[in-house]
Amino acid sequence: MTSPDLTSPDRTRDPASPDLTSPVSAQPLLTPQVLTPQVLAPPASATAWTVTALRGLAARGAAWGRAHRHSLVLVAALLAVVTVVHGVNFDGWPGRVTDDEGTYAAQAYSMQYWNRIAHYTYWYDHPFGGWLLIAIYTKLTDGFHRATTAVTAARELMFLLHLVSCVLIYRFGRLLGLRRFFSAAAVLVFSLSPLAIWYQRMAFLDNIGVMWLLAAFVAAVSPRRSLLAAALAGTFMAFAFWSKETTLLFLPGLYILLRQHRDDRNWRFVRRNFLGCLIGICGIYLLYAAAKNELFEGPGHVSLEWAVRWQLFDRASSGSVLDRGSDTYNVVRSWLDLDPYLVLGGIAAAVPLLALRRLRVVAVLLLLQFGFVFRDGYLPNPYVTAMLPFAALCAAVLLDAVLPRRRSRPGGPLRPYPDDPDVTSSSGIPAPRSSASERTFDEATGRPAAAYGDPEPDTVPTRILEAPRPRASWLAAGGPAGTLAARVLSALRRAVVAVTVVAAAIALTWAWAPKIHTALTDDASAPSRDATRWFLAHVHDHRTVITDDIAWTDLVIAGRRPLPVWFYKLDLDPQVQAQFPHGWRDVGYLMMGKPPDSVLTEVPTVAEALRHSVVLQSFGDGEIEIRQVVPPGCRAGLPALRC
Amino acid sequence: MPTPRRLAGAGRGVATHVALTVLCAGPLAVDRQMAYLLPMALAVLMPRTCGRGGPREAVAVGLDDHRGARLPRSVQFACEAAGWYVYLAAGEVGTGRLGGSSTVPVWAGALGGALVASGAILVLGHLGDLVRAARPGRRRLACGLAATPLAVLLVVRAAEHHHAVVLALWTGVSLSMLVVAVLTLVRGQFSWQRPERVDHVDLADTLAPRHRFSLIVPARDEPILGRTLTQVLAGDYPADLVELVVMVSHDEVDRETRQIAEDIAARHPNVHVIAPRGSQRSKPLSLENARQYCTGDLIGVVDAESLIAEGLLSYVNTLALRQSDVGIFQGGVQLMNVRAPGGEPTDGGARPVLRRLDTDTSWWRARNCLEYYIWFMSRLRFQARARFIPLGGNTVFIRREVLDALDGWDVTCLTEDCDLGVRASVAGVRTTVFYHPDLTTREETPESLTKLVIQRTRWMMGFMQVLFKGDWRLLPGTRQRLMAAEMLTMPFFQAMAGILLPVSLVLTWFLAAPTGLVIVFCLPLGATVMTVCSEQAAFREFADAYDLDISWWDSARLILSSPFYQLVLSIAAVRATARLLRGRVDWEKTSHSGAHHGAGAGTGRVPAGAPS
Repeated sequence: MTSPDLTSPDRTRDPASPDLTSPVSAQPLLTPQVLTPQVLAPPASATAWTVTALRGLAARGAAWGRAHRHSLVLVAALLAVVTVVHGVNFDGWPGRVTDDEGTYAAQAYSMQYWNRIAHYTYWYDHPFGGWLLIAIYTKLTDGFHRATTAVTAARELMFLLHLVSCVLIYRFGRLLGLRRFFSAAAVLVFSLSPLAIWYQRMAFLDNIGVMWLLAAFVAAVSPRRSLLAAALAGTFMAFAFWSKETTLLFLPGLYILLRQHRDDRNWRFVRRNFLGCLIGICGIYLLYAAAKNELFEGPGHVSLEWAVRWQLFDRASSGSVLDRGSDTYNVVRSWLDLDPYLVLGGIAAAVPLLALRRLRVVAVLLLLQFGFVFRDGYLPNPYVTAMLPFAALCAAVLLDAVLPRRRSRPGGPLRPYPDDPDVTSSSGIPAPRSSASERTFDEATGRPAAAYGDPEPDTVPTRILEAPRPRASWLAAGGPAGTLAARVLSALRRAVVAVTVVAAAIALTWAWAPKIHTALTDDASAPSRDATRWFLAHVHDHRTVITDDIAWTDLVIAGRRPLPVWFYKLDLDPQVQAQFPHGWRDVGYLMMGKPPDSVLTEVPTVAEALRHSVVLQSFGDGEIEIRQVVPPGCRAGLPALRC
Repeated sequence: MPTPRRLAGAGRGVATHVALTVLCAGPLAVDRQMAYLLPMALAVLMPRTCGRGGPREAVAVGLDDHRGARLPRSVQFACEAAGWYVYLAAGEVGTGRLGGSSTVPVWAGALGGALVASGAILVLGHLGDLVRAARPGRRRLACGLAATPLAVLLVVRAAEHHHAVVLALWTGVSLSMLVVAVLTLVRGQFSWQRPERVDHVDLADTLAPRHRFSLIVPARDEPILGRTLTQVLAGDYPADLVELVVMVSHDEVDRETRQIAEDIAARHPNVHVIAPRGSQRSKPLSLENARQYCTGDLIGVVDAESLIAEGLLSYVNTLALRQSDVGIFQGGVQLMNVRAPGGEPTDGGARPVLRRLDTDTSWWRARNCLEYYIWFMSRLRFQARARFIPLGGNTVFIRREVLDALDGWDVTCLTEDCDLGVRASVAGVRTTVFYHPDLTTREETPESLTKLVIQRTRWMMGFMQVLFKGDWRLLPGTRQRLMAAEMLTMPFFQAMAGILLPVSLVLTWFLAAPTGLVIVFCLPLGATVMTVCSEQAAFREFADAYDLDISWWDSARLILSSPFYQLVLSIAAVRATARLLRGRVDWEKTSHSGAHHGAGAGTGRVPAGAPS
């Protein structure tokens, strides 16, 4: 910036004086002799400002792309693999094994077309953010009318969310200090495990919640330490709550992570922005209940209070995981049948990780979830979904921690970012100003930890919790001493990591390939689709059909009147009950698989209707049956009963 | 023939009309007849932005004149009304012509209407002199007649759907309040947005004194002027580079103050006392008078009751040398007594309750101090970066040629500082705002709640004056103009904030608003709660910066006082509006008792608000 002579009065000008419109001053840039001092230069016009801003944005984007080019290429390659594995046949495998998928699709449908939160009375079972997102997606893409079935539309969204989750895991791994290789490895095992394919393809709220959760974690460890990142972390956490309330389990971990990555100069604001956004957005849920006068229990209406109590205390326990006959045991068993390696490997890796302060939170969060399995309460089937990203990260983090960091030149000055020459030059690193800054010295060697290099080129290390290498003395190889023992140890660690990686790659390929092949080819959803098609083609009378939620939305979309009824609601919703004054005799058809006995005891009318019905058509070896209810004195048949 | 520029503006206006109408009729589900209302209202209210006028010709390089409308507002309204008739006719007649099943698409109707309105405005604009020549009374009558059917239609439809109209209006109010609250919150946290932004003053960086300062000290009945002047003169900046211009008035009220000033001037050659004759004295007038006596190249304003920090002038000198492209340097001003002021007369308990509430309470002082802290530490820094800044009235240093180019202060304005800042922003003058506890000018809170209300009334009236003066419309960027409009209309938002919650509750209960709207009504409240949260953080920072000994009770009181303080501000806003409407723009001076003098300059641990 040149410094013009500011004290000479003849160079000043009055912007209000008329001579400014004269042709001379209209072209100040072309006539240097009338160049005004910069203090009085008029601001650029709006157009010029926009052009400059856009150019700056483009330049910054290009610089960002250059700095991250390795990561970008890697993530693109990962996404290509993930897209194939999760995108091909996503509707066919898994089949329609749980009614929950149908429920969320049906609720999204009622949001989009009926402006109601649920297709029956909303009773605060879950916050409705999850199916709100599905409804937004189907609204934007006309999903319900475009996709084969309603659940297919919801599963499309799950596929997109999975892609986002993969990117977020990669980023989170990088921000935790992982090398690119291990960050990518975490993404791969997170995505390719048959367990992950099974659960993440299904339209579960957990998948939505986990995506927001990962976003919150990424924001919480953001290297900028800005208030915006903190507010976003709170907002994403609140969105996770809105999608699936159980994600609140992760809140303490998230807060600790945020605190560990704080900068004392604005920590007070960071903390309050995080909590403010979180509480504010979660509070809307309470506000919603209060505005509808459904916060507390009362006669004649549902209430949030009751729903919370039911979920936390009154819901029937699914038994202990140690009891071989319990539901919990079966659920856990089904997980391990799909893939024992990812979850168990992650848990095994989490235990040693507890020793590293920097990574402890991730390990603790995984172990905490693992511990909750042993709680003698209700274990939902997709519970494992939230464990998967943390298990993948723990496994990758452990390997990354064991592998010694390469030094650029023995004894020479160390590059702060060994992997990335580009970012090395972009320093401008502000000095950490935190009470914990003393800890940035290496206990083992007494050298500043920064000398070992931050492994993460994406981060600005305003606050280094500890040297990114494990600090335990038995691991402290590559120290300045450079003794023979240290070298041997370092070589040993390299060997261990190499062997583990190769062995894991072979073993996992061996174990997963057949299941992935099934996932890509097996169409297990066909019976459900065929049943709906057959029903719409053959049944035309005006008797009510009782269905599961999978078929419910498809029948509604196809225009079936009277509206089908979800079998749960026939017995549990007083409003629906009122439409069936004669109980099971008012039921025309049943279209569902045979519910287990434990469910049938809850829905006596449905059980009664089942008892008085005959099978018209069966699909997939009885996986789903279309039955006609036959009152005494009548004979089954189509197009109508013969009485 | 209209200029291409004007035609382009017209085209943009037509596009805006069609887009907004389709938006209203489609996704927003507004009744088809009423869908044209929003673009029309915007076009009449903001003819330059949403209408077809476009800005006037450039008044300077890069400066478009966004002030006023080319046509009288009533004519603009009549043209828009004509457009609406065409729109309605297209809907009705077109539908009749096409038969029952098909209708004229909304966009076609809107296009027709907008084109007619555009054409009318362009033609009338072209015949501008003719329109202006018509007698205003007749013109208004014609325009009124033209718009009458429309008004009738509007009133009937509004009466039919009064329930929905009220809810829709209040939803709009709530959402705009939310936007304002969130913007206020974000800008109030600007300095803490990034860690590296917090410590922005490097005290170790000093250059040799080169700039010559002229400090204007306007004084009016200030017994503590002596201490202020002594303090400035005792600073570390060479005395020959500092010139003090003390402005006192030539009447009986100021005899004592004048005496003090003259005593000091006798001892110090660089102190000049100016006492112009004239009955009406105000701060802007004093400043403007003093300008001609200033010889330095950096002109500063120092209030008579404030305590200037010791290293301030050296730091500003360094800044001015380092940042040659910056024209104005704004330092921090900080109220210091978070509790009661010193020397408060307490005469028994026999006084009326209201009097006691007024003078004996100090629940609002911490909040007042905090307001200053956030304003100077964060908000003004944001405004400086956004290139639109209402300056502070104290501890502001302006390059002499900048001040001359801006023609000095506006003597008719109640907040001459804000006005100067706006004009400087229009001229593209850059401002640097610096805040450091060791450099802030310390002041004290007003003596009583009444004084606070009076002070706020003056500020708000000043802001409104600046708003109506319309200099801000010359700002080059749309974003800057929007920011200016938002900041200068702050009094209205303040007044609105006081009644927001009660009205929302009433609507919720009595009009049985849908659940979604109830949540929308509550959103501004949520933003307010966030602000209170963030204020707690700022309060801690404030206490740390000045080593104040604050207790949990101070923090709790800060939270509890929030709604009541808001009420006080609302009262001031209403008062300001009323006074402006009645045309009373005389100067109400805020008086001070001098509690902060002797409170030390951040050297020891000072109990907050302790008497000296």
